[in-house]
Amino acid sequence: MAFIQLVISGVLQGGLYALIALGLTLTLGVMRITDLSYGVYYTLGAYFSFFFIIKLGFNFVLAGILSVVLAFLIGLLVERLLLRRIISDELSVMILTFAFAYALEEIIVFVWGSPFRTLPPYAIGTLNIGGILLEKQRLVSFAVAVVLIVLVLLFLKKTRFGKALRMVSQQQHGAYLVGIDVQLIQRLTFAVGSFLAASAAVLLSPIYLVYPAMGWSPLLKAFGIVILGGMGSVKGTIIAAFALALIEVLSSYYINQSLSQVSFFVVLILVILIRPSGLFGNREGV
Amino acid sequence: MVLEARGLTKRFGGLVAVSDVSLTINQGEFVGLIGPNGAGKTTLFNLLTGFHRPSAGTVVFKGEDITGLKTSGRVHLGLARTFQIVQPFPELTVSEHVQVGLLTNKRKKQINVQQEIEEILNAVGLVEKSNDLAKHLSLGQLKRLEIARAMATGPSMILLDEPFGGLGQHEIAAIQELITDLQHKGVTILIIEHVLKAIMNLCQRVIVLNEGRILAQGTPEEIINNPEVVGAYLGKTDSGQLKKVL
Repeated sequence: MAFIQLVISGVLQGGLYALIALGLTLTLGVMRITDLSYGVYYTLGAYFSFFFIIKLGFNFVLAGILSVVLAFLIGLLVERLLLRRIISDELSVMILTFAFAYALEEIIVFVWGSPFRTLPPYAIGTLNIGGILLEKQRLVSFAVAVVLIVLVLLFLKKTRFGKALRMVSQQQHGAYLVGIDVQLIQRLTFAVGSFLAASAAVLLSPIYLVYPAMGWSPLLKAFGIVILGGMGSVKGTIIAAFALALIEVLSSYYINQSLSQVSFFVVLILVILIRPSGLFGNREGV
Repeated sequence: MVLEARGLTKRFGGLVAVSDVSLTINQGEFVGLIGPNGAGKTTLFNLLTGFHRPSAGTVVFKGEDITGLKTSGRVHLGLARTFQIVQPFPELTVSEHVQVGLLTNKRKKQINVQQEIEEILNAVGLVEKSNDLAKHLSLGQLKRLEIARAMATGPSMILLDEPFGGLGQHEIAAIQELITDLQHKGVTILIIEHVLKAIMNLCQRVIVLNEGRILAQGTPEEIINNPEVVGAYLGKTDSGQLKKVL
């Protein structure tokens, strides 16, 4: 029974990991940059919800939508004003995004202070199905995350923009040559990444604490997931996200709580040693 | 005149890759661009097609100043190119490459896509490969696919960067024929090529680039006999030796 409970918890967590990592994998595939500021959009998503719900008293749906739209717009601005100028210089991108992440963290401390914040859950209570306990909040968050992921996948498959995005990810120069506005696609993809990170934060902030440095852990996990799944592979990313969550949950119960973070990275290192391109990586695009 | 560059200059830090290059290409002309390694040929292509912004100078295409226009915008105006190192979409089939080019071509709203694909694949000799993924093609086939994709965007001018590089005699002949057909259809062609023999017969005019500057231009005959060109290619020597190389 404990095992089933653990697997279900792992799956519920995995959906949110997948949502976070999906944005990073798109950005990596389309822009070929190492964005160390990705976690900032997660932090911003949480603080925007905090601001709209606690300070302005908006309901959580409106607050959530406003938060992710704001994150999308900030993503557009950051790409245009900061990244665009240095996008071809890999090292500069890493340093700039790292510095940007820290700067924004300090700005958040300045604006909203450094104490830990909590947000009220928008679904209260626990379901008991034959001895399996399910927090309603986690169920709702998981369901919304799955809907968002499916929408992104449909968007990639069906829309003109989604197809262009996949072409840029497969072969950037080729995309230029058939008249695709590669820079525009990259800008929008970066903003979609910011949007996805912020939406994960909106869904998780009623469960976890909200604080200025909260974005680093999801950043690290998202990178782990993306590398395990094979850089830029959407399918690999989603599978790796669930693998991470299950490894965390199972190892913290069966081995030791404090080793839950270690286990995933041990698995990651082993996979990279055996298969350097990750589980589904072939460097051939989204 | 279809393409004109005025005073094009590109600096990378302290290195001047292209220095004050001015050239004009006329409608329907077939022009070769040659020069030793590092002369700035590919950089010049990148400036003309918008992959690089020039440090100075302007590019005019069909009477329109396109210096500030992105690559995608230039493709829509009818300026296509191929790369020396082929740039296929590995997970798309041969016919999908052509299809993407056709669909991006906004000037032709009412086209029979299937028929156009067949015509283009026929022209490049890839009909039998139309359902193969690009990642399964040979280099010679990829070079032709690169040209097919460029053709699909409906160009009035095409810039070819070493289309013969790394190919055998047989494949070179096939691409020569393909390029000649393109020219007969009225497409203006500017070509970079190291296999001088292959372009000396095709080009009406040859431009020689050396250390980022135009060293000479003229008919292939004039170029072969130009002592400065010979010097740039072989060091101090006489034109008899260059002819032997050709």
